[in-house]
Amino acid sequence: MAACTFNIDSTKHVSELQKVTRDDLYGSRRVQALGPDNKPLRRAGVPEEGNLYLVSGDIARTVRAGEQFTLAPAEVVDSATGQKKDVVPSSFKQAPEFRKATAEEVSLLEVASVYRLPGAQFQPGTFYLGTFNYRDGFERNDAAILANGHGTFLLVGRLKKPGFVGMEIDSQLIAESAASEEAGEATENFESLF
Amino acid sequence: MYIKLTNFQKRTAELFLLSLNGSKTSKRLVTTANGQMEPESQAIITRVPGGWTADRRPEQIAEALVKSDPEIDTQFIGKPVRIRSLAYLDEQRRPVCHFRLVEEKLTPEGAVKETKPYKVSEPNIELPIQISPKGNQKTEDMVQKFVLHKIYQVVHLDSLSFDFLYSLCKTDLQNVGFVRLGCGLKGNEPLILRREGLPSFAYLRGRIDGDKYCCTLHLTHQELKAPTEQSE
Repeated sequence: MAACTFNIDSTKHVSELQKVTRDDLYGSRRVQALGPDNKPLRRAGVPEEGNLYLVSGDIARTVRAGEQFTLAPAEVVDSATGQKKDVVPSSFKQAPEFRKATAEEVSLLEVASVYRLPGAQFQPGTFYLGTFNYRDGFERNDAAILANGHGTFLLVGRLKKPGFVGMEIDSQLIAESAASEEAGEATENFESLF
Repeated sequence: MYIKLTNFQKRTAELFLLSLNGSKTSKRLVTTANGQMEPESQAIITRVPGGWTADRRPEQIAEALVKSDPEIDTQFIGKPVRIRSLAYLDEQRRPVCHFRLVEEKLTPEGAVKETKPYKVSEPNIELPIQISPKGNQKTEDMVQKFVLHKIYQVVHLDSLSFDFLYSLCKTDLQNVGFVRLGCGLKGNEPLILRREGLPSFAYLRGRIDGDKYCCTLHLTHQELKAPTEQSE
């Protein structure tokens, strides 16, 4: 994987990124359907008309605007202001800045990706916070760099900001959250714990 | 999502897990003859289901291509579809009614380690979640040992649950770091919030500020470590 430069406390550090997933650590699981003769079966989708069996590769996704299909390029705008959003460049093109942080701050990072940084050597117990975008995008991802006995790691995700709650909580918060869960955010993951 | 939490004094309260995901700050727009609008993704059929070359010899395929355009079937290609249900097909693309689901456990190298009948993981938050006296972590240890993949804010639903949470944060959680939670009858199982969800270790953290509290639930299903190197 390509090397990335990090500006950590005004010092440049260069390291390759090695992605670490649960599957790399504990192995993975897969669910398979077997027929009466124990041969693996193929999964197919049935459309609402019910007259077809569509397997992987039979379907592609297109873009529809209103009633018509379109190939027009999409513009990304700010939801609140409607202003065009600037592209956040990949961190491989623009070195991300990291500052010293506390374990408390890092503990509020909801991690989506983990990378090992074999080229960076830090003392266990040092924590840095910054941003990291693997690819160009429109949203900036939060990131933390920290070290433990296994090496130095880059954690990429979103920092959460839980607030203090008094007796008078806005019941609308709960209603909205419950509604969005019902809309379906189900994680279809069959793996079990390590 | 509602949960029931039991404290060290064996008191139980119903609480709510508030997702801390903010709303999206951007949206995509395309310009059409009718003005700007948000595009939607639409599934369409891109090839004749099953493939028009199936069961044909190479010379038959060549002959068909010379004669006409068999790969372009205007009855199917480009037709919008909405998948409503799932089926399993055999090698001849016929639906199979009698099948069984098996779960294969693979090693990190991709070899099959174990095969067993598939059993859906069911949520285990119907029973009260218990605070475990063991397994507490200091904040420094927590972030160095585990990858926290989900954080919820725990909030009260009424004055009784407010008192419960406030006193829990004040007496049992403040300045302790992360307190381990356990599920199931014995309170020693990992947490499964949703059907088919991944079991996770759960930790609770709490602080108070005046007459307000901040209680968060942190979930992890991965240690922060590197994979073992493969010896050649």
